[in-house]
Amino acid sequence: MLPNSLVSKLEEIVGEKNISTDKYELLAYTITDRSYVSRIQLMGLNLKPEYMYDCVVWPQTTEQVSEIVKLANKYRVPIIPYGGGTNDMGGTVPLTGGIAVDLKRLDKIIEINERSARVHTQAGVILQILEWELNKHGLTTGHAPACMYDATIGGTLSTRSSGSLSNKYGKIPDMTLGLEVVLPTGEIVNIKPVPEGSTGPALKHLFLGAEGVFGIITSAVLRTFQLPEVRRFRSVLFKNLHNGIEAGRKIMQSGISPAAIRLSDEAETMKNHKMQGCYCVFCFEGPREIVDAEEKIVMKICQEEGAEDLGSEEGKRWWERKYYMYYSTPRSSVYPPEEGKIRFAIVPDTAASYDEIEPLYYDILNVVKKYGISVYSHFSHWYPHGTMVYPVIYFNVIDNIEEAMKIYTAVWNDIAAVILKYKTASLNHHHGVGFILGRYLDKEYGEPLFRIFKEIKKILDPNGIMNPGKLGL
Amino acid sequence: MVIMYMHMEKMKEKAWICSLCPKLCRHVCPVAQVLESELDTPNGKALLAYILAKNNVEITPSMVTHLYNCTTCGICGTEKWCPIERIDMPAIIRAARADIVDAGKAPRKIVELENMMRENKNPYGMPRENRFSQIRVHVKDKKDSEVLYFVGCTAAYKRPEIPNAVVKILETGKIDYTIMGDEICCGKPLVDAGYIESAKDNANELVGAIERMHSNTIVASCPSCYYMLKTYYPKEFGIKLGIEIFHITEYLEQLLEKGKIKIAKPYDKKVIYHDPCYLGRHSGIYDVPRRIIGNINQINLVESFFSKDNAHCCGRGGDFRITAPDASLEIAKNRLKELLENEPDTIITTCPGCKDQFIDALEKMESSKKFKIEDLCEVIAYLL
Repeated sequence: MLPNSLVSKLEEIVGEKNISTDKYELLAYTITDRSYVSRIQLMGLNLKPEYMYDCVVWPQTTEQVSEIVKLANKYRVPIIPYGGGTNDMGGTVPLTGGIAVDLKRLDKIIEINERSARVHTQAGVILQILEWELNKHGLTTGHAPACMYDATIGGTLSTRSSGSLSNKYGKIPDMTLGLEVVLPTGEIVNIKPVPEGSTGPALKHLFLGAEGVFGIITSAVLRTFQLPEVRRFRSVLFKNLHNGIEAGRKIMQSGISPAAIRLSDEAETMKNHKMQGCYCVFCFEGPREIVDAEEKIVMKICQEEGAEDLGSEEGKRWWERKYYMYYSTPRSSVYPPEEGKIRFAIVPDTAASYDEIEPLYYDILNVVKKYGISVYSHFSHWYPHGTMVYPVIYFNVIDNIEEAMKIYTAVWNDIAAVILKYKTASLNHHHGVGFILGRYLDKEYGEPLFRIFKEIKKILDPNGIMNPGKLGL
Repeated sequence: MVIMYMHMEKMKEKAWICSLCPKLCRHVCPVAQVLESELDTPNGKALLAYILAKNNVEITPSMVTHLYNCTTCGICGTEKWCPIERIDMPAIIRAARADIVDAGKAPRKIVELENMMRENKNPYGMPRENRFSQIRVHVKDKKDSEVLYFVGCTAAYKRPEIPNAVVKILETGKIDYTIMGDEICCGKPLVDAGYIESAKDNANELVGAIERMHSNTIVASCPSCYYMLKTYYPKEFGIKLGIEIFHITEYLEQLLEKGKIKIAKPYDKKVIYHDPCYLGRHSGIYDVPRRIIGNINQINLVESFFSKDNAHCCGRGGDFRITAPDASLEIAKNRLKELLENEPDTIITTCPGCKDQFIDALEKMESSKKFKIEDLCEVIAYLL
């Protein structure tokens, strides 16, 4: 419960209509967050979940955000920035209660600068809405993550998100030129949208992926790209995973960047395509001549790796249905089979160098075997020096929340331990760490880096009010 | 005391499925674009509705507010945005509202609406005797006519220029038509309000009156009336009218094809067509009005970036204009801005409610662009 005087002062800042302490409002902010901790709470429909916000506010300007942060400092009350609530890692779960600062009223697209290929947008804009606005000008963000329809720009920046076309356009940090941030003290800072610079470390990276622990991103200047002249698909079937990964490596090291390469492991290939081997779909886009050349080079490399050409139709189908797995349906593997029962999945996406990715993948499979649960994986973000594996681990039906939480925690512990064994593996590739993986960030960074990281937090956020408990802080 | 929510009980499973989804339709929900609470997304409302059905908790004032924050436009459940389950959000919303009404917790404005409907048989509280005072009707209560023109409350009281245009078209085509002098509302405002039993009584009264006219065909110029008579009555009330029911655009197309009317004049303008939710998404009529417009000489029909099943709502439906007038007009402004991106000379729609809503929103908008908002019937009547 927040003190009445604090609620009154928040009302003065944002207006009476832009604040809520209503029980069901707070419940919705708590349990419709997409992390599986929240999902488990939702499945039990526990109306008094362990973690609850005390209040939600809807500021309409950066200045209001700043005033809210200053006030929270005075009262030493936690603040959690909230966008679409789509995170998978519990980044918006209010571990110690506090104020949800919902940024969705910062929803203006401030400037589209076609000549300099950039867009200035506020943080509360939904990704698909920004994409549509740019499409009207013949432009695209190039950012197409699965949360496109429901996530905000602020959220995507705060988790270093990655979209389906990342091979060509990059991850969101690659697309970010400038930022406006409200620091944990309430000061407003602007990081200029320079094309590039040599002025010390690029400070924007302090806030990208910071999940709100170093401040609240209120607007951003992002790169834009021309809508492609051509978008084309091609699918192949590799005999085994090794051949598929080798083909991906050779493609990414050959000097070209197909917009998407999505390689399924044997289990996912059997599940989705009813075929033996490893299915792989490519998306090529851009000027026709480049697409022609990329497709030719890719097919030559696939042939060298013994792949069978499956044509273009399956790829189109994948593109049209690429978000289907996120919809809720009784047929899906995360749908509770009956009232009171719990079923869920986790997605420990990780990236590693080509030296380590295969052993890492098989180590993850061994963890899964230990728990007798099922896993289907794909490799869908590729770089010249490594790739990302996206295992979707489906749990068996569990009878109660306590048991579900126990198994959930144990599996994450084992998976994190496996990832941390590898020199080039990242604890997470594009979902952020929240508190689920944040607990292991000390091991990811090692000493003295993690100590320095904590010192930075102390300097920026002396009262520790910004999204406490996330990123291991 | 055990609380039971009978209406939501039937929709419980669908609400549960919807509440588990990571809100993959929030970006197209017109309400979620102007009211940013998570409880104003389709998913948030489904969660509230499910909580009612599952936990049988007391209905709070906040729940009531959020569950009335829906225009029932149905964009969230289209194939594009809800491809697997095709959740019928208007049905969930109406069930939850019916439980709210049964619990005696309806918002004041909704209770007033029901009173007005009972007393005046229209949602505007206007005197029944004034229903056709602004319309140049020449034929009233003629039995056994070919066409019964069902005018509808919004056209009759708010936008009389539309029925006047329809009458001109019918008379030009020498159609044997009539209207019912004691026409009453189709009852959609009651259905959306959650007063299902009152709506059913209203439907029975209306259907009795229609049957007594012995007409061969009903033509409605309001998509909501059309939807109620053609789809909702048989599906939800089991009331099937034994005569053909057309929206005016369908009937217009027949008149043009049969040569009963001719579009004589050209229309040298750039026009954009706004799809009303209850003609488009809820009745599946997208191409008929476009074909009619396309046949007008010299007209330049352009498409909105958001059109057909992806057209945004004007914000009026689902009694949202009554319960949240400011937010409702914000939605209308958003839609107008989208339509004006194409710089049309005329915005054409086929719904008196949409037209009235846009005109009201325009008064609150700063726009230097000059354009007209017209019903398709007005355009056709002018060009005859």
